[in-house]
Amino acid sequence: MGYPCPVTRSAAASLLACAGAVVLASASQSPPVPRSLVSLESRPLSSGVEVGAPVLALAFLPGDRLAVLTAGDLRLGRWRGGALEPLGAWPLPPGDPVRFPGGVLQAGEESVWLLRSGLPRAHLLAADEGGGLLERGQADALPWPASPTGLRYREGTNLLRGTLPGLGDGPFLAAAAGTAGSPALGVDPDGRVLVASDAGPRPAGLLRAGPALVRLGEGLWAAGSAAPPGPADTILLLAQEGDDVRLAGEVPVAGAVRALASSGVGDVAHLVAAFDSPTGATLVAFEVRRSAP
Amino acid sequence: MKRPSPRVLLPAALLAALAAPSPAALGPRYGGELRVAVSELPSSLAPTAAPGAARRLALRLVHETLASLDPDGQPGPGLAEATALGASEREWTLTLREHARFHDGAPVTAADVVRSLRAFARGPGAAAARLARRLDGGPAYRAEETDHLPGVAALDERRVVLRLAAPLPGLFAVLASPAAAITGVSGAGAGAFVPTLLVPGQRLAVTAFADHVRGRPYLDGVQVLAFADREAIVGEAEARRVGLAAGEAGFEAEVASLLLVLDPARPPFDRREARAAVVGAIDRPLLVGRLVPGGTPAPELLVPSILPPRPPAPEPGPASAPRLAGEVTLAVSRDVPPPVSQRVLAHLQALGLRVRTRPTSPAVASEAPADVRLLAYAPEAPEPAVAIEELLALAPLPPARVQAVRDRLDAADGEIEPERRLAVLAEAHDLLLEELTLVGLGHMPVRYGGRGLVHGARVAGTGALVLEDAWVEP
Repeated sequence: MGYPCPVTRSAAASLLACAGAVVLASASQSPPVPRSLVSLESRPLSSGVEVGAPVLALAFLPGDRLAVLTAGDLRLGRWRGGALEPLGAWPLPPGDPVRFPGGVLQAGEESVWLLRSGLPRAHLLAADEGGGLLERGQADALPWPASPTGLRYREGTNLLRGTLPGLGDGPFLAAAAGTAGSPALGVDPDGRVLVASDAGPRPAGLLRAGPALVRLGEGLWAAGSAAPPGPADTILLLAQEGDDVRLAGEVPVAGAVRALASSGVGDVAHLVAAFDSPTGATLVAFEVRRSAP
Repeated sequence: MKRPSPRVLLPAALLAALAAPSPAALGPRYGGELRVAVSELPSSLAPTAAPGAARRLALRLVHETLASLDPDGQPGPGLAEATALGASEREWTLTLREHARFHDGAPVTAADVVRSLRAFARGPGAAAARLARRLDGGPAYRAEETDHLPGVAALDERRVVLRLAAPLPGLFAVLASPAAAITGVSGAGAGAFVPTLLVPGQRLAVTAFADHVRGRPYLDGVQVLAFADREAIVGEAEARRVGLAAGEAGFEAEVASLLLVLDPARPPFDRREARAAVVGAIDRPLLVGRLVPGGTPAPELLVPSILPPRPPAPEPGPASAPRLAGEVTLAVSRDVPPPVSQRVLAHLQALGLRVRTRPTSPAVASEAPADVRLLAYAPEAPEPAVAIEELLALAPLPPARVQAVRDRLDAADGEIEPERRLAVLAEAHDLLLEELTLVGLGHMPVRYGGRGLVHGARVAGTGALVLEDAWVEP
């Protein structure tokens, strides 16, 4: 069991060195972005799991199962005790070369849609009782909630295109579907965070993010930062305030954040981040919760 | 020499990928356009061995070769994804990537490779000469005594066989020469960018090629703009009208050698004493050490990454320098830093010579009619034997000296052990120096820099700026 401890930018070299952390809403970007009044706590739940390949996307399935998309395969494992127990894998078909591919996973109860740039179609995979992955179908585009077109990758890039309600036609670096209580969010190719609205996409102030974005719960999101080149990165915790979305916290990590997944339990979200490491990628789990005012 | 094993290209590429630094979360970023300021642009985009960093940048944008070289000079895949060495160790089979395409949409076929390599083998340049000399039937074909070239043949749509009459170390560096680019029947290239506009000598615009063999480049487009003088290039960079400018600090590699070429057929340099006087008057620590940012004073003609230096041979000292008389022309390549050319001019004048200076395009500076030529030399291919062949063509030498250098090159090709090969090549290098017609001043970086929002660019061993992995911050 870890204990919360303050994290400041100066002590942010590696989250792994800290047993636990309270994430403070801090103005770390230039120019400063508006801060949220929402207070979030986070603490690491694991010390890091090496994947051995760059991770393009993550998604939780019921039963603490985690789908991990790499450039070459989709892996399914059970996230237990800070470790990933392998359950199965499905090799992706060969595709066109992409210098820096992107990937999207859209998980259901017992299945997951996957899309990877360089592949011409989206694939639907189902987990069998033994944990193996079987292909159940294909589509021209990845189905996306309330989207008439679904999502495709712009040829040869990690940029998504498709008509997303309230966000327009893209292109997008990342998107998070909306719910009854939360608007959809998107990230444009320049890293600007966009908030869906009936009038179309609105910039979330000066917030900028990278290609990893996930909804943590009602009105809460996590995103990789739009940091300049460097060996470290920051997970941005975003919170809705009225019609606006603001920065509510930052979690430093020891590599560029490439993918995020979350599973919510009441007011507590479990967040798994994949960040670049010398051997491919490292997975680290966090617990994120609203703290008392 | 340790020969590359079959399928050597792929492991090399994998190692290079593993060694790549971790990029930022937002990058590499697809999109955006980059403007680059250079000193000159070619009038044509046809593959050529002509020197000049800007010319090579233009060709590198548009064209693709069978093999590529990583920043350390190790071979990697290009249009060919795999190679296999036959049992005779003289026969290489190159397999083209399945989806390789030209800019016009046509697939890259073995027939295109054969046609392109046949043209290359008869073309100018040291790499072409070196390949033709070793190919089965190559010498007669290059001399246009026959059109039959059995050393290059298509096995099927995707496989090409190269048959060598003798070993050719550095074969993949030769195949990575810009002059060895593979083009389609219509002349289309297969590089990472498609040319959309070429105003000869002034402006080149290219756009991303989605079907490039290593994937679409990050940039949507690149504009290369030529400016007549150094001040204009600096002004463009300072005004932030360009993202990268030639000569500015940023992306750089020490790949160029500053060379003086003295013509022994012209007085006063027909006398060895006169050449020795120039050599003795050169103050390398001042010329290169202080006047060239990042420069390294050195008498060697090649940078250490191509041929490791050996203990220098003694040179004539300043005390033995006699007074010279007469008028000489000094052709200065425009990519030589102006303080260097001004100092060389001063050195020659201090010896008593009247000097007429003639600024010259880097593309033709090596052939400019002049008594003295001052060059910033980067090899056509970063391979020592290719470079020595180039230098051999650069300086007029007595036939016996030429033959002696060629004998060393042949001997080096027969060496299996890499260290011994390099030692023999170093002997050939030293033979080039002994006539005092080629004078090494030092080594300098080829550099491109700007406002710091560009990532992923690099300078190749040929001096070419490589932009296929470059991206810009929003």
